Amino acid sequence: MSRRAAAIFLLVMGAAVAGLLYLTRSSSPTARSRRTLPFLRVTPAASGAVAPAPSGTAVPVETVRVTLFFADAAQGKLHPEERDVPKPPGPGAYLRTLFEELARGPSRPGLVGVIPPRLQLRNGFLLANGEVVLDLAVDASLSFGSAEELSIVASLVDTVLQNVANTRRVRILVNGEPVESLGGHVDLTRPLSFVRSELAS
Amino acid sequence: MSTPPHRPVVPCLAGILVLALAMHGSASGQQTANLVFRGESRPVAMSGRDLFSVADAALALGFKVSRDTTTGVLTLSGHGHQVLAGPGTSQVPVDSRVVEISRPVRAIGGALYAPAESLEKVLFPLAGATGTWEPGNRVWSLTPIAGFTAQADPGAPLSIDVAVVHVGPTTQVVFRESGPARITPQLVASGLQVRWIDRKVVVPFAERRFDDPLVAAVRFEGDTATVVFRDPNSSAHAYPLTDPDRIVVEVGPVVNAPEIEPSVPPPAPSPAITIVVDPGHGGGETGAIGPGGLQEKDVTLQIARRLAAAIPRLLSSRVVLTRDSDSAISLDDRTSLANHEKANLFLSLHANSSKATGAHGSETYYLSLESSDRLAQEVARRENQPLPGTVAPAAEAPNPDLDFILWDLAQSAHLNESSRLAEAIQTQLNVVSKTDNRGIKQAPFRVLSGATMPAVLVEVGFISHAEEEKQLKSAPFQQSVADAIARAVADFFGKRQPAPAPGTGPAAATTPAPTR
Repeated sequence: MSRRAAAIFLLVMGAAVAGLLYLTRSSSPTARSRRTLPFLRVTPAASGAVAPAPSGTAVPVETVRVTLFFADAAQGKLHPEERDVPKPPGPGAYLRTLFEELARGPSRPGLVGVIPPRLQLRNGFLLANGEVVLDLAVDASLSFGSAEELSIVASLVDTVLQNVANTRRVRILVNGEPVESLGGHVDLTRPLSFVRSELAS
Repeated sequence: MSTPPHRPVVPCLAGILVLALAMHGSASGQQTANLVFRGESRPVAMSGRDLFSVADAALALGFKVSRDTTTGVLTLSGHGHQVLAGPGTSQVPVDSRVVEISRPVRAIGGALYAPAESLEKVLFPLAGATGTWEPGNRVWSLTPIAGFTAQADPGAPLSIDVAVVHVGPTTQVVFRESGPARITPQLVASGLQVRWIDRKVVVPFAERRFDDPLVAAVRFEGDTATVVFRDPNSSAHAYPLTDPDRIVVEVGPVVNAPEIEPSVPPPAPSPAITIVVDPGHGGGETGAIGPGGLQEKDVTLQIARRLAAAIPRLLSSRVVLTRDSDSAISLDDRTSLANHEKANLFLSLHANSSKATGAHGSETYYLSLESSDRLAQEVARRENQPLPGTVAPAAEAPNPDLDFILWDLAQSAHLNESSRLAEAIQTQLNVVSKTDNRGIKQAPFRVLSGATMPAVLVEVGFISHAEEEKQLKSAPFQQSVADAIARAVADFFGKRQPAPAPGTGPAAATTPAPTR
C-alpha cells in the first residue's frame, strides 16, 4: 500500500474518531445526571452502618434510614418503624424499596403489615411538580373493609411523603389507570396528601 | 497490507482532531436568531442550525424565567401558564398536563436548547401566537392567533366554560377558566356582572338561557359576563377558586325586598323528607369477607332493606335504595342518585374489616378533607369566610350551602350537618347494639364526597371479627341496627313522629332505585 493510501486511510480514521468524540460530547453524562430531582429526604444512616447482607458476611453498603408505617395489631392505628435500607440510585428505585419494605412487614412485635401479598407495585414515579405516582397491581380477588383500605392507603401515602424529598402528594393508580378507589371506600380520584387521621396519637 | 510508518500517524491524527473539534466548536458557536413578537425583535441564542435557547425564546415571548441550579430545570411562567423545561426530557409539564415534544431538551454549556418545532408546539400557543421560522434570515415572525389582540395585556385569551347548578336555596354559576384571572364583580339592575380585568376572554356564547329557579341566563359581552337573575332582588356574590381555576357566582333567594307584600312564595308542597340508603358494594364487588365466609355486600343489603322499612315508621319520609338487588354500582352513581332524588340525607351502609385482630364495634364516618388537595380545603375554609370585596349578602348570616363548586366536592358544604348526623347515629348504635364506640370518624371516602346533602357512611360492625360476623348474619341483630339508625335519623330531624297509617299518606313509601 502506498504512503498516500495510508495517509488517506488515517484521515478517514481521524474523522471517525472526531465524529465519535462529537457524539459523546452531545450526550455528556453531566447533563444526564442533572435530570433527577434530589429525592432523599433522610440523612444517611450513621457511618459504618451496613445493610444486612443475605450471605451473612457484612459487605459495607451505603444505607439510608427510612421511616415505615405499620398498623398496631390491637386497633389498627399506624405506628412508625425505622429501618436502614441500601441507598437507592434514583426516586423510582427508592419508591420500590419503600413499597417492598412496607410489604415485608414490621419487625417490632405488636405491629402488623397492611399491604396484602396480592397488592403489588407496578411502578413508582416522582414528577417534577412534587407529585408521586404509585401504579399498583391489585388482584381482582382482593376485597377490603373501610379500616383495612384506609390503613393500606395511609401507610403508602404517609411512608412516601415521610421519606421522599420534594413530594407533596401521592396519586394512586391501579394497573396504570385512574380508579375511584381500591375497594369501594377511599377516594383515589384525586392525589392525597399526608393522612394524619390514621396515625396513632 | 503494509503497516504505515509510525511517526507521521500521531501528529496527523492529532491535527485532524484539533481541526474537527475546531469545526465543531464553530458549528455550535453562538449564532443568534431574532424572534419578532408584537413588533419587537429579540435575540434568541442558537446552537447549531436548529436548536434555540429555551430561556431566550421564553423571555422574548413575555414569560418569566427562573432556573433551578440543582436540577437545571427552567420554570417559565407567564400568560397564566407554567412550563417546566428539564434537560434530557421530551416530556414537558405545562400547567397540569404533560406535552410530548419530538426531541429531548438539550443542555449545552449550562443553557437549555430545543428545536424550533418544540418551541412552536409548546410555548407559542401559550403566548397566543403562531410563528414561522425563516432559516434564511434566521428570523421568527410571530402572529397572534385568532381572538388575541397584540396591544392588549400580556395574558393569553381565557377560554371559559359555564355551568349552572341549583342546590338547596342557592344557585351556583361556575365559570371554569383556562387559567388564573382576576375579576371585579358588580351588581347591576339585571343581575351580577363579572368583568375579567387582566385577561382577554374568548366569548363562549352571547347568551345562554337556563331552566333554573334563580338564574335566567348568562350573557357575555367583551370581557364581561352577566348572570341574569329571574328576580332582580336576588342576592349574589362572586369569588375565584383555583385548581382548576374558576369563578363562582352564588345567587341566593330574594332578600331585603320590604316594599313587596310578603306574599308567600309559590309554596313548594310541604317538603317531604327523602332519604337515600346505600347498601355498600354489590355484584362482583363483594366488599370485605368474614372468616366464616359472610360477604359485606349481603349484610349491607339486608340491613338497608330493614332500614328502609324502619325509617318511615318513625319519620314521615320517602326512602330510596341505591340498589335493591345484588348489583354492581359505581360509587359516583350512588351519590348521583341521591343528588338526583334531591335527598335530605344520604346513608351508606358498610361492614368493616381490619388486619388488627382487636378491631371491633361500629363506626360512623363523615367526609374528611384533610388529605384532599388544596381545592377541597379552600372550599371548606371559605364556608365561614367570604372574600373581601365580594358582593355578599348579610355577612352575619352564613349560608350552609355557601361554597361548593364541583359536584365531587359538594359535600364540603355539609360537613357540619354530616358530623351532627354521624353523632346521632353513633349514639344510637352504641345504646342498642352493644357495640363499642370507636367513635365518630372522618375519612376521605369517595361515596361521600359528591353528596349535596348531609351524608355519612355507617360501619355497622367488623365482619373480620369472628364474633361480630355471627352477629351481622343474624336477623335480630340486623333489625336492631336498622332500628337504631332509624331512631337517629328521626332524632336528626328533631321530629320523631308516627307516620300516617299505611296508604293514607303519599309520603311514606319505600322506593327501590331503578335497576341500572
